[in-house]
Amino acid sequence: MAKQETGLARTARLLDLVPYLTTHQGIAISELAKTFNTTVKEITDDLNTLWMCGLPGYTPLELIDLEFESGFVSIRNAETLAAPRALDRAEALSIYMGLDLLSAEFGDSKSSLVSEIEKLQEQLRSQLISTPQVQIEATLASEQRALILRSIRRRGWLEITYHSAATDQVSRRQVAPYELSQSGSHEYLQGYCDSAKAVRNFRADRIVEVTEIADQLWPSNHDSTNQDAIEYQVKIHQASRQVLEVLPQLSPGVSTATLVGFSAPWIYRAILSLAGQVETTGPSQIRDAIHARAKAALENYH
Amino acid sequence: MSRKNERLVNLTIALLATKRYLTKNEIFRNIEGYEGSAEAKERMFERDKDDLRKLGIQIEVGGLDPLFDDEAGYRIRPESYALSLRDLTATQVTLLSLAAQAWQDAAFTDLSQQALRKLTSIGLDSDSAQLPILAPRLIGADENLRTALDALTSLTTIEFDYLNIQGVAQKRQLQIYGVQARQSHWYLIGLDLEKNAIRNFRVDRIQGAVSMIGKAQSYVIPETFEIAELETATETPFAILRVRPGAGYQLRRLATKLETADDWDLLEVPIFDLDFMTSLVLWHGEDVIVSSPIQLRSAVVSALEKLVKIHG
Repeated sequence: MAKQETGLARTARLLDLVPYLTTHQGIAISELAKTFNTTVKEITDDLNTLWMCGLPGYTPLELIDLEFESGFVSIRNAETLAAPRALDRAEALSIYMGLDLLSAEFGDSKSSLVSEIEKLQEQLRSQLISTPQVQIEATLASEQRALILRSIRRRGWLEITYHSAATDQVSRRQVAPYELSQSGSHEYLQGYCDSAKAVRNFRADRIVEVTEIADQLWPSNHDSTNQDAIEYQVKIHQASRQVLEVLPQLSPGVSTATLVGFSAPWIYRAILSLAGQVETTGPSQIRDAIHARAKAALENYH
Repeated sequence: MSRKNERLVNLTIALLATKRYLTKNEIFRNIEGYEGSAEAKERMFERDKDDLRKLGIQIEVGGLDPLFDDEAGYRIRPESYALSLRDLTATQVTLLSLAAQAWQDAAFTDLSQQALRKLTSIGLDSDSAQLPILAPRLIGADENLRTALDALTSLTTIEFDYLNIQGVAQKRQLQIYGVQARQSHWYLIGLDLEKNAIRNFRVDRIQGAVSMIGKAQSYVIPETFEIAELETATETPFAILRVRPGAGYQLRRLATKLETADDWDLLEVPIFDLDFMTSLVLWHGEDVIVSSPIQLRSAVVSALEKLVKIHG
C-alpha cells in the first residue's frame, strides 16, 4: 500500500468515502477531512468527483446524489458502493495482531472478551491466504494500564512495585505518573518518584504491581528533571552484537567512546555482564568499583 | 488524475452492479471515460484492471457463453468486494477498533487507520462501557516489520542483513511463517533458506532495510508449524545457582525451582543460551555463584578474571 498520496490512494479514498458517508449522514466536511487524514480541499475535490460517478447511463437517476454546499455532507443513490470494502490482507493481519495483544492484556481476568476476540480472529483468518503464526506478549496487564491511565488523567498518585535491573531490588515507590510513552522497543511510565525526589522513567514490563493511592493529587511544583548524568569512558576489546545492544550509545566500529549513564550501579553491572569485552577506562572511581566487584565475585569461587 | 479516478470508480460501480459478465465492448460503450482509439481504450482498461487489483478488488473473468462466444467478460462479486465481518455486536466493533488503534508507529498508521475507517463505516456504535478507553500499544514496529508482514501476507521471500553474534552483518533469506512479540522485541520466524531450518530473527538486529525478493505466493506455510511448540521443542539444560537472599530478582522469575536458606538460596534456572546466562550471572556480581554446569561456571570465572585484569 502506498504511503504518500498516489492516484490509487485517492481512488481507495473515493471508494471508502461512500460507505462512510452512508452511515454518517450530515457529517461536517472538516470532520470528514480529519477522519480521512487529509485537507478540506482534497475532500471537497473528492466529493466533486464522486458527484460525477454512478451507474452507466449517467443521468441524474443513475448518478450518486451528494449534497454538501452547506458544509455538511449527505449522500443518496449510492447503494452499489454502500458496503464497506473488505480489509486487504495487510489490514486484516494488522487487526489480527492487535487482537492478539488485546487478548494477552485481558488474560484470564476478562475471559468473555477473550472468547469474543477468538471469534473475530477466526473470521479474520479466512481473509488471510494462509494462517500466519502470531504471538504477542503484553507489557502490562490491562487493569494495570487502565489504572495508570486513569491516574494520569486525574493527576493522582500510584504506588508501584518495581524491579530495578540496576540495583536488582524490588521496591515500592510512590509515583505521580505523567505519561506512558515508548522509546526504542520499550514502553515507559514517566513520573515524579517520591523516593528519588525526581522524575524517573520506569520500564513498563518491570512494573510488578500497581495500586492507586486514594485522594492524593500531584505536588504543584517540583524539580522536573533532576537526573544526574554520569560520563564514563570505555575501550572496546571485542566488538559483538551484545556490546552494541547493552551499550546502544556506541556506534558500530568504534574502539573507544565516552558514554553517559544515569546510575552508577547500572554502569557497573552492564560492564560486568559484558564479560571483559568492554573496559572502563575512566573515571577512576567507576573503574575501581568495577575492579572491586569483579574481584569480590571471583573470590566466591576460591 | 481526477478523470482517471472517476473512471475507476465508475468501472467499479458498473462491475459491482452487473449480475452477469460485462464484455470489454460493453464496458467501452457504456462506462464513461474510455476514449480514443480501440488500442488506447484497450491499454486504459488493462491498466485500470491492474489498479483495482492493487487495491485488493477481485475482478472475476468469465465467458459469456462458452459455446458461441469466447469473448471474456468481467464482474466484481459484491461478496468479495465487501467487508465480510458481519453481524458484529457493539462489543466486537469496539474490540476491532482497539485492535486497529494498537498500532501507533508511523509505519503502520496508514494501514490501521484505513482498516479503522472501514470498520466504522459499518455504522455500529461501539460499546466502550466495559472496555478500556485507550488501546494498548504494539511498540517498536518499524518499516522492516511492515515489509515483513506484507511478505507474510503475500508469501514472498525476504532478504536482509542480520547482525550475527560476533556483531557482523550477514545476508539472510527467509520464508517468513510468523511473527512474535516477546520480551519487548519483535521476532520473525520462518525457514532460513541457507540453513534450510526454522530460525527466528530479532527485528532490531536487522541492518538496513528488509527487501522482498522473487514472486508472491512462492511458498506455503507448513500446516504443522506452531510457534508455541518451537520453544519447548529442545531439551533445555539447567543451571544450579546460589543466590543471596533478596538479590537476583530476574533469575528468580526465570527459576523453575527455589530452595531458600539463610546465607544462599538455591535456584534452578533453565539455560536457553549459555552466553545469555553467563551475562545474566555476571550482571549480579558477587550476589550469584554458579554451582553447575561446569561450562557456565568456567565461562563466568574466566570472564571475571578478564574483568579484574583489564580493570587492574
